Amino acid sequence: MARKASIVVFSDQLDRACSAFTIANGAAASGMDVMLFFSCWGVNLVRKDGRSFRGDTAMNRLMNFLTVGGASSLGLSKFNFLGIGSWMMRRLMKAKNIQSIPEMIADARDLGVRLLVCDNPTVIMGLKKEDLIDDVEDIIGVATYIKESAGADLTLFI
Amino acid sequence: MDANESVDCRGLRCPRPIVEMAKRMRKMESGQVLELLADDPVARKDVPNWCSSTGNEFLERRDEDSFFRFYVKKTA
Repeated sequence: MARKASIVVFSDQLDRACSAFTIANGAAASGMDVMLFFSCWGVNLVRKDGRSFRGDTAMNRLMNFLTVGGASSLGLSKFNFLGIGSWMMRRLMKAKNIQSIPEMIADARDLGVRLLVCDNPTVIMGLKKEDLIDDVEDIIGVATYIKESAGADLTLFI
Repeated sequence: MDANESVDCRGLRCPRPIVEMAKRMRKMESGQVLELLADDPVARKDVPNWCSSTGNEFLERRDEDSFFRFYVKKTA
């Protein structure tokens, strides 16, 4: 049986996402079964691009609107400076031939990395499965995450 | 060295050479040899380590002036 990697992606920042997808794709390329579990803000990485105003209640809709979805416009966990730092980082990554997050997601798809999303943040942000990118396999609860992670050789929280 | 296929990853950074190698190897048959061209210095360790993780055979590295040639035999 192939070795297994289980990575919790908690954050939606460019630097952390970069780390998560680099390790995930490297592990998958090295023959591991890889699962990324997007929880809390991490869900924004696998949302379709842009803003929407959805949800059951006004506060729900506001939260949905205030959290921008999509992997192409992420900020940095430090040195962001209202987006200038993030813009510089993206320029540098491109200049140094480092993949963008959307490119890494495309590679993750090719390599068979599984993308699973935590249930609670989707409820808080008023998101449905159709608001997430097609690569997302399912929205799941913690018991399913625990079962899927059983026996993992590599577990990370990013 | 004779290779059945070649992948040019010069200019690409980690994890691209490994990812591109893995994708190409999937389409190859057991016993075939892949040549990988890369200039990312970490590839010198990454390629043999990738082979040991995946059970493929690392044959050889040849150093050119500005890049490396790796030869990997598909045995997994």
